[in-house]
Amino acid sequence: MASSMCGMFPGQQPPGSLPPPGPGGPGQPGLLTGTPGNRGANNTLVDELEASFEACFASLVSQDYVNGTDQEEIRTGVDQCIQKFLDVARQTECFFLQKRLQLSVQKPEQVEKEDASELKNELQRKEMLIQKHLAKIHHWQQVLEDINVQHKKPTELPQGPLAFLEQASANLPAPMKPN
Amino acid sequence: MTTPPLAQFSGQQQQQTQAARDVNTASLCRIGQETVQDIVLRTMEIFQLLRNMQLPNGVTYHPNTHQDRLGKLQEHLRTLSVLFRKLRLVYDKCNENCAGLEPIPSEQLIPYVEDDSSKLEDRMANQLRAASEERREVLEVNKKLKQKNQQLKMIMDQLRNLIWEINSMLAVRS
Repeated sequence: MASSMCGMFPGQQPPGSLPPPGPGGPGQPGLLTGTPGNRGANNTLVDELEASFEACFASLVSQDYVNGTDQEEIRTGVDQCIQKFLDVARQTECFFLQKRLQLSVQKPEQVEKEDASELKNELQRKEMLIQKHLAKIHHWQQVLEDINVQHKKPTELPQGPLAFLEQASANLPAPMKPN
Repeated sequence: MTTPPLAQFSGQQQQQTQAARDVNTASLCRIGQETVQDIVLRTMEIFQLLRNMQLPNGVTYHPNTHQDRLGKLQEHLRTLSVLFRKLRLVYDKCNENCAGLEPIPSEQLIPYVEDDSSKLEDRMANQLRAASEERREVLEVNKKLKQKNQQLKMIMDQLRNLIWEINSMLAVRS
């Protein structure tokens, strides 16, 4: 029990290296910043999200549950912490969605610029796909020419391969012209 | 209180803020939204790993399995630390860029079909000139995309004919 919990704390140090400015002392930041009504300038949504994230793991390694082994109490505490984490995450996502909605009305050129950049990326991806298919066509043409050279020795089917190659070469210049 | 963490990541934050300054604000909002979703998904994966972990009871202890799961857990936590830092930067940048916008209620921003849009007409008249240029660019790129799609279709038809000819040659030979 203690080894897995001790192993979790060093892993949790990186997110803890940026502690939110809690109103209380240097105790556990997750429990001390549990004030849902405090959404002033000091506590941003990201700070609340980080605090609730740490609270999810603080409830697992808390010393308050060592004496009492009440299963329902532990389950309720963990569920509340996870529910709060999900609620704050949903609020943060709503914040970004509302900002984007405001931008789409007050600064529509930014949304249009984003659409233009996405379409340009799509254009580049199509171009790479076209180049890949053209290389494949050239490769198979070489294979067929080699087969044609082999077939010239027995001269059993002189016209079939030649007619096909003429047809293939006639079709190839078509995609080059639109460029 | 907040000075030591900022001093540690000052170089990295400068690079990220330099890159974020050129990024579109609408794209920033989407990046922030995806970062929040990524954080929630990875948190759920951590709890999944913890649920599957077997407590050390001296009977079914495998060092390799334990090290593998411990590595996965630490990898998830390290990635979450990076994601939280990224989310904080995106959040601050969004607030900074949207500070000049007037706070309009969200209900008025939704375009209705029956609404004559007279409320936002005066406000949008200023942005229409700027947006029309971007929209023309979007239409132009759309036109190029259609040409690329037609070119792709032509190449696919040629490939299909090529395969059909090869199969015909094989059938004639056998």
